[in-house]
Amino acid sequence: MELSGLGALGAGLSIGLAALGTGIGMGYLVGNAVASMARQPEATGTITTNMFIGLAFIEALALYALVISFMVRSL
Amino acid sequence: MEHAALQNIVDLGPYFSINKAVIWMWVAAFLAFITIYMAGKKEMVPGRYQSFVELLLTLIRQKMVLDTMGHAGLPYFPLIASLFFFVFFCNIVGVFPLGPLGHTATSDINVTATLAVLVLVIVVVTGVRKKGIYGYFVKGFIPHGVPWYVIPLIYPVEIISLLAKHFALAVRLFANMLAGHQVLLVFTGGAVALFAKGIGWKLLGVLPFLGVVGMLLFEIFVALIQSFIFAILTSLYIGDSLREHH
Repeated sequence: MELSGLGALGAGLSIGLAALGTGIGMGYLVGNAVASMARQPEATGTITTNMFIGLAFIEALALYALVISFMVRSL
Repeated sequence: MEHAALQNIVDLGPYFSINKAVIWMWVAAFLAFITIYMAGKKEMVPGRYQSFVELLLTLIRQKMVLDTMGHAGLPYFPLIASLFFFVFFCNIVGVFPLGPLGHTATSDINVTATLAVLVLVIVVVTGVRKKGIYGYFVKGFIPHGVPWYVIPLIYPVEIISLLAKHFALAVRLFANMLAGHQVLLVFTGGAVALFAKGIGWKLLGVLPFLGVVGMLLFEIFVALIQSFIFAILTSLYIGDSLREHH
C-alpha cells in the first residue's frame, strides 16, 4: 500500500518525539551518574553498571517508537 | 531499504528450515565455543590469551552474577556467560561488511524473542523451585502490605509487568541491531549516491562516508553493550525470582 503523507509524518514524528523524551531522560541519568561519581569516586564501578542498566531501560522506549515507525512506514 | 526476506538454504518446512540467520547463529555459537575452549588449557602460568578470557569471565562472575544474584546465583553463571558470548558474537559477525552474505542473527525478532522466552522460562522455573507454586505465583506477585481490595487490581498488573519485561528484553536487542544497520544503510546509500555525481558532489560525499566509518565503530561498541545488557538483565530477572523478598 502506498504510504500517505500523514502516515509518513506520523512515522517521522513518532521517532522524533521519542528521541526528544529519551534524550532528556538520558541527560538526567548520565548527568546525575557523573555527578555522583565525582562526589564518590570509589563507587564508580557500581554506578557505571547501574547507569548502563538504566540507559538500557530508557533506550528501549526510543526503540519501541523506532519499531512503530518502521511498522507505520511499511504499512 | 526493504529488509530482504530470508531465503531458505535447506527447506525443512516452516519451523526447521536452515537460512542465513541460522548459519550465522551456528558461526556465532562456534566462535563463542572456540573462545572459551582455547582458554581452558589449565596451565599453571596462563598465557596472554588465557588470562584475557579469565579476566573477562571473572568480570562476568563478579559484576553480573555475584553483584545481582549473590552466591545463590552462582549455578547460573554458565548460563549468563553463554548468553553473553552468544549474543556478542551474533552481534559482532553482523558488523563485518560481507554484502549479501552477511547477516546479524539478532536483528531478527524471532531470534531475540526465542532467547527472551528461554529467559522467561528459566525465571519462572527458578522462582517455582525456590518458593513453590503458591509462594511464587500468589505471594510473589502481590507486593507486601497492600490492602486486600487492591489485590484484584494489582495481580494482573504484576503479571503483565513480568511479561512486558521479557518482551522488552527481546525488542531492545532486536531494535538496537536493526536500527544500527538501517543507519549504516542510510549513510552508505547517501555516500554512494553522492559519489556517482559530479566532482563537487563527490567532495560532499566524504561526509556520509565518514558517517559510515563512525557508525561502524559505534556498532562494535553497541554490539558489546547490548550483549552486556542482555546478560545483566537476565541475571537481574533470575535474581528477582531467587530473592526472598517481603
